[in-house]
Amino acid sequence: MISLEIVGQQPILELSNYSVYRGKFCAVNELNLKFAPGELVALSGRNGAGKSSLLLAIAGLASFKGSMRFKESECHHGHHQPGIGYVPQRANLRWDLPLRAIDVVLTGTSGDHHLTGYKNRSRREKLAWDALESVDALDLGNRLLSTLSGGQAQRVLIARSLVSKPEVLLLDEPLSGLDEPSGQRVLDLLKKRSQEGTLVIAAMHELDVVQGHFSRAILLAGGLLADGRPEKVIPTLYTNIDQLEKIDL
Amino acid sequence: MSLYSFFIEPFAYEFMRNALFISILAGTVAPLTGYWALSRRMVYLTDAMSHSVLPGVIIASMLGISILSGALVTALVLAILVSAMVRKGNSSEDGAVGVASQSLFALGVVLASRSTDSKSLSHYLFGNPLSATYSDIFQLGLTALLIISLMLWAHPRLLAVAFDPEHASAIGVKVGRADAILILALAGTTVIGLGSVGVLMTISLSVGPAVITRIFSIDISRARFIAMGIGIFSSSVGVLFSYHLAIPVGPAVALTCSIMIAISFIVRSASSRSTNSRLQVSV
Repeated sequence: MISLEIVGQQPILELSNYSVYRGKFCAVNELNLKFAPGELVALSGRNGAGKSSLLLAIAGLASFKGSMRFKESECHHGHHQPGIGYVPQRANLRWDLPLRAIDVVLTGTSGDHHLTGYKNRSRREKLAWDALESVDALDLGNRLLSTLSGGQAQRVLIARSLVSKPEVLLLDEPLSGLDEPSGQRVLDLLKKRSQEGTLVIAAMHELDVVQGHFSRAILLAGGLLADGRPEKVIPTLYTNIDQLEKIDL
Repeated sequence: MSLYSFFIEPFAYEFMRNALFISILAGTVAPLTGYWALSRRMVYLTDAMSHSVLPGVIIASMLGISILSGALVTALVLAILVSAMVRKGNSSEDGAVGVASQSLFALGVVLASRSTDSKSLSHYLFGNPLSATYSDIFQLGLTALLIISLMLWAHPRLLAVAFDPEHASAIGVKVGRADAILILALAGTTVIGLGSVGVLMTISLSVGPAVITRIFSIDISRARFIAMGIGIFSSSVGVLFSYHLAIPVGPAVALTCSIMIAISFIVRSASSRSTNSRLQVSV
């Protein structure tokens, strides 16, 4: 197995003997991974490999066994971490609701009980507009969701996560369904975040993109198959085809 | 008939003024909670709840206690029954809601037929705001104020949960608690509806105005208040038509709402056609 050692950097996120469960089913088994600030990490593997489950567990939305440490503090299942932002797959959301982009970004502040309520409305709005500006989508703020393209919608969702200024950003298939220019724009955004020190972890199917743009790739197949530089890890996808076939749902 | 005799004359009578007040209360609150029910895909649950609170309301009325508490207890019973059927009985959620709500409704009908209460079953089902007293208006007014305050306070969380419950949970919003607040508000709305349009018509006043705002793609920040305006207008017009045509208030309000939906749909379709033809000409 290829693995990557983080040299000279304190890990911001550390998973030890980490298994993820969806109900009674073990979706990801016994991971041992360390992540440093500023890494741009791709989770790869076929459908059912456990990419989304792993992201959900780190975001506090799926149960896990083992240990997860975020900024040296132990995390517990079901407790959200204010410093971890999560961007789910676009297809699972209610795009039919008559919301403006700014309304969606504003929902990113709903969990902060110090900010909710009408007294803090202007403060929340400022945070939301700043987040939209940070993804270069200031002009989209007053547009209804139904009028946004896939790429624009993805940037709005990223802005929603950035509103709480996360140090770890998790994204589930952020390029899915996007054309090349829109995908490139989202990628540039993720690179910029990682250069600014945010740990970015994205579940990715686009292997050529992973090889061309990401600093690290983790190959999953119900457990860890490989972890390292994308140009070394991606070829193992083909050499481990037998293992991958078993978990292809 | 002059405008004066159509619009003003009916309200020379106290019972008509009371009917108008109580219908306006329902027209204010129901569209607000209904808007969230539509956004959270809980319209069927709202309809089921409006039926299922009947036994609680009748028992409370027989015991001489607040009908709001009776309605809330029955809403809780409905939630427990649905949850038990889904978890223990492997039933689908809509199947469980259908069975539990209709059972409670049937129980309510039986209780009403045995009740010595002056209010007849048809009052509960179709509403009779004409019999509303100042005390009813005061109590339902307080309930309305409570529900509106609750909805405004919970707005950020309700919005987060309606759009993306998973993300809402990830940022620390208690999704179950937000849904419970909405269900409580819907139960309270049913009680207010009970005093005006009746349990069978409450759903029209809850969801109709929200549907109109959807037809015109009005964004959520304005839509809730526009829906409340439409609700107040429908209630007022319904009360007027009920007086002039000598028909029950509940169905009159519900039909006014339905006619407004039909007109909105026609206006929207005509406007889309006209936009499309302009685009074709310019191409």
